[in-house]
Amino acid sequence: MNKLDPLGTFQWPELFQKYFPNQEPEHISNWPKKLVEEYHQKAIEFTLKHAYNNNTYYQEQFKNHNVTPEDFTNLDDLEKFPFLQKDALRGNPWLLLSVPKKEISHIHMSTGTTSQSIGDHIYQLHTWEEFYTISKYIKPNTSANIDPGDIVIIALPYEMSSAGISLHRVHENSTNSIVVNTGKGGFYSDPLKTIIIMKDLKADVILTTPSYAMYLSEIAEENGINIIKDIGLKKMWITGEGCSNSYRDRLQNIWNCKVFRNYGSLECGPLGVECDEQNGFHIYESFIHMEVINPQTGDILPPGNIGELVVTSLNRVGAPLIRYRVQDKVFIETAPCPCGRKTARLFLRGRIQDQLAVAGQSFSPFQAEDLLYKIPEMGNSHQFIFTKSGLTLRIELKCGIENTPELRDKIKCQMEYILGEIHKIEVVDKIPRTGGKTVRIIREEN
Amino acid sequence: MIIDAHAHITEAEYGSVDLLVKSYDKSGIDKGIVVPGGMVDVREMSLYITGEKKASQEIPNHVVFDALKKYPDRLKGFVCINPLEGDKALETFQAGISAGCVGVKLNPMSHTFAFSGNMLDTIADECGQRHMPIYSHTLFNPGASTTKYAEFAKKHLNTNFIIGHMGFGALDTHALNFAAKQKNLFLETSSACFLNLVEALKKTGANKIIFGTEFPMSTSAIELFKIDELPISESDRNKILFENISSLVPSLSS
Repeated sequence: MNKLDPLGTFQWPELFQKYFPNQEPEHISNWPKKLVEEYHQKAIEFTLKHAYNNNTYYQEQFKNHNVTPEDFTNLDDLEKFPFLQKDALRGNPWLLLSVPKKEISHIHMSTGTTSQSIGDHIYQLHTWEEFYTISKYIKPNTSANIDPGDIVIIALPYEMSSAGISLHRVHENSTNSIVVNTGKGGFYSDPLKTIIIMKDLKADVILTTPSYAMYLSEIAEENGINIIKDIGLKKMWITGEGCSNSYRDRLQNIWNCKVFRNYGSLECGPLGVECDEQNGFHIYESFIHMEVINPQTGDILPPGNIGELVVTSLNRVGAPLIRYRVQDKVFIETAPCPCGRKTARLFLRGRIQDQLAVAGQSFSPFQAEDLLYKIPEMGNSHQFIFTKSGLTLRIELKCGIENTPELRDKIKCQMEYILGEIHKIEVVDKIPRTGGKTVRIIREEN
Repeated sequence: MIIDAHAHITEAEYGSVDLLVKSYDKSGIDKGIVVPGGMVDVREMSLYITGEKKASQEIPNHVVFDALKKYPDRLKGFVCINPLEGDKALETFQAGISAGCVGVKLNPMSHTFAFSGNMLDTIADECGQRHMPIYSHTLFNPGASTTKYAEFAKKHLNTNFIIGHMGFGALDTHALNFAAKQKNLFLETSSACFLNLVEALKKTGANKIIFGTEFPMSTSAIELFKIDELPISESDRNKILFENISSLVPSLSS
């Protein structure tokens, strides 16, 4: 029985009936490239027509760019269509509404990562049908998969943001796992309570952010709970913040399980998940079409080039995204993954606004973080602080490591290898844990 | 006289000191300066660049120390130091001196450090006092770039610095310009492309160019051929092939 549609009355969208006739996760990751392209062309064709006919914003934008849905005859034609900018969505909850309002079943709101003041928040509207199809097709078909009966802890914010409630819904419906929500309004639940729940229920999987996974391990240790013996997770999904390989390696060592990164955003929903190779996100090509552009010129870049991610939704009618500029720096690898799946893989290089600019050069925060957490004396938290004097790297040291000028000099020398110039290494006992989204980059230049 | 200013030797057969000396005999090279190799297996170099393989953090300086004992008349050695090792780096430096090493080799790619910090300053000062040159590759990484290496050299004017392979990439314009400007910066020729040598001659003259082989990645004969091809006088050829390195390492003349 399907938990979301117990009576079997769900009206499966026509396009999905054609390409996914069994209404089962018939994985696009095994399709020939030609079939994926054909499906994407049909789905984009449908989306362009639907948006043009039902949304005045898209209608105006298309007119301003002298295009109509009829100008789209193959995938290359998509570049004729205008970009959707994040700023257009700020404070405009209904801008993309493309169905009668009563057909919307859920509205998500941004967590505030890029929204700072009243009136600049971003909302995303979803119909029930969209959720249903996304839930069916989110199953990653990788070892990151979650099995029926697995006890899944969702330690992500539930209020507003899409992260907690979306993944909750997906796993409740699609993977038939047993979902335990330990997130709450915009924040996470009390961490000790979460650890106790995980211990009592012998949790199999946790879905959380990298920093919160680390925080939970610290709380467990402080309270005498051995997370390997007392909990024994099978796997972990991390999302929300992005993290370097070396930080992930630490999590894997601490929790003694494989940690898979999951990539998505409020506006786009789920975008990709790692497989056992842990080498790039397998893109959810069943409901997302991706382009990578030069952020300065808007020109499309061939696969393998680093640029800004642009997303077009394939199954959304409530508030479709057409060429939405995600503001994340990525590249796409089309070479086959050693795991055998044929889907393209996406590699994330961080938010464009979070790139570290030092001495006139720009660096991915993950690249710097990767080297930082390879330093054996390094603790479990850090911040990059940009001041008028330059970059200060605020760090914690591992328990029992003495803070000496020699050690600071050594860390500075090692991190300057990547960053070129660091003004100061500042060692603190503890960088406060927020219980919310962790901020690693602080700008105090003004 | 021909002196090879830069060869790696390894415990593995493909880079053994005996193989090196054989190649010297074949090509008429009289002496050489050896540094420890094998922290990366250069036969699979690209895997280290892509991150699929990790460089060993153990520095096999003992291979150099043993070679100096085995071929005292043919070889001099540079001791390799990782400045991130703190006091151990100074101990390694002292061990190198005790074993007869005449210079310091830095390896920012394997050890991931920038040309900055108190430890490197201490080592550079010590080298200056003992007339020991410092040899290093330069990289694309901001902290280990040719520019940073030149800044490091500028801070230590009493110490001589050699830019391995004439700098980063196929033709490193910064390396040539800095070597032309800074008295204590020299260019070592191994693995450098021919045009790089021609351009270096124009910018720095023969006084700043030092012959090396990068054994076992290249061979003595191949690297010597590049020098033979240069349209230069016998006097300039001698500077490149042995005089310049002998001025930096006086014991090579004895």
